[in-house]
Amino acid sequence: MKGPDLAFARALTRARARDLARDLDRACDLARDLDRDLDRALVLVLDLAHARDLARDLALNLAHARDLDLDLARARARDLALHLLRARDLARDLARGLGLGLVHDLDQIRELDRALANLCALVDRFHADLQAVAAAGDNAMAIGATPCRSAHRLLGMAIRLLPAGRRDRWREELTAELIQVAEAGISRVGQVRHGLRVLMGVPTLRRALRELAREIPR
Amino acid sequence: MASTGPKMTLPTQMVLRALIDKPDREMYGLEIGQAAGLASGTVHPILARLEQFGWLESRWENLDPHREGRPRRRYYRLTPGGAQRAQAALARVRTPAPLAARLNPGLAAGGAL
Repeated sequence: MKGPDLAFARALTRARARDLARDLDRACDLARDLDRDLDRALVLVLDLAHARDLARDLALNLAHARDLDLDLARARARDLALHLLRARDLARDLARGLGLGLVHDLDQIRELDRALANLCALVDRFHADLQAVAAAGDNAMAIGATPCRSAHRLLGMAIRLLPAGRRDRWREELTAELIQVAEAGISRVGQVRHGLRVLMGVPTLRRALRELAREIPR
Repeated sequence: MASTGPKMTLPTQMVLRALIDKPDREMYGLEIGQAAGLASGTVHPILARLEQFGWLESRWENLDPHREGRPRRRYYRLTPGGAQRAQAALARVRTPAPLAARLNPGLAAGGAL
């Protein structure tokens, strides 16, 4: 996955991570309030199930982004899905107990609270990872700036004017420099000006290469 | 390698001064042009001549173009012998200082552009 697709996947993943963090915050608050309002336990189950679905989506999303930098984020997503599964099971047991009219187990609620607090911390770290990965991706996209077509065409003309045996070397060298010009944020006009200057200098370069080939056989 | 040196035209002198100014640093053509205050089209023929005379050496940037998605840069630097010969040649030509400063104020002031 490259360019716009990857950027879209990253934006989507970031949005999902934010949703997940918000849902988990809500779930944590609910879990803390359980001893005060037991009816909310059922809402907690729904929230956790939603959060788990989000985590699964995240893991799926990340699995499609073929970028080594995403390995850490992927591992965190897997951890998150596992922890959420466990928290949801606890919440489900709790709700079942409440539904049967049993007195809730305070230890179980405390365990759930701890599990959810860990989850919130995990989501925070995960979100930070994703932001770092996205920032690196944005930077990589800036580095990958492509020169404008007109400047490229001028460079192509310049290279065709060089002795055939020398073209490959100079094509690579001059193209790398044109890309450097584009990456520096030079406008299209500036890039075309650069291409024109190279083209104008080519007769001298061509003469130099020919004279030197005669004077100093390689 | 030829025993004679290149013609010491004014652009050649400016390129040599830019390279001598940063003797340990490898620079690619565009960078040398910026440091010398010359356009790319002017710099490359000079670099080609200086390299053929053995004053300069060059190498490709150490990267895989297919993996990085861009072509390699060509880095240049003065050879030890080339640096000595360039110093001597520049001392002989004696470009008037006000002219050099007018053509490339950054270099004349001893700073990078």
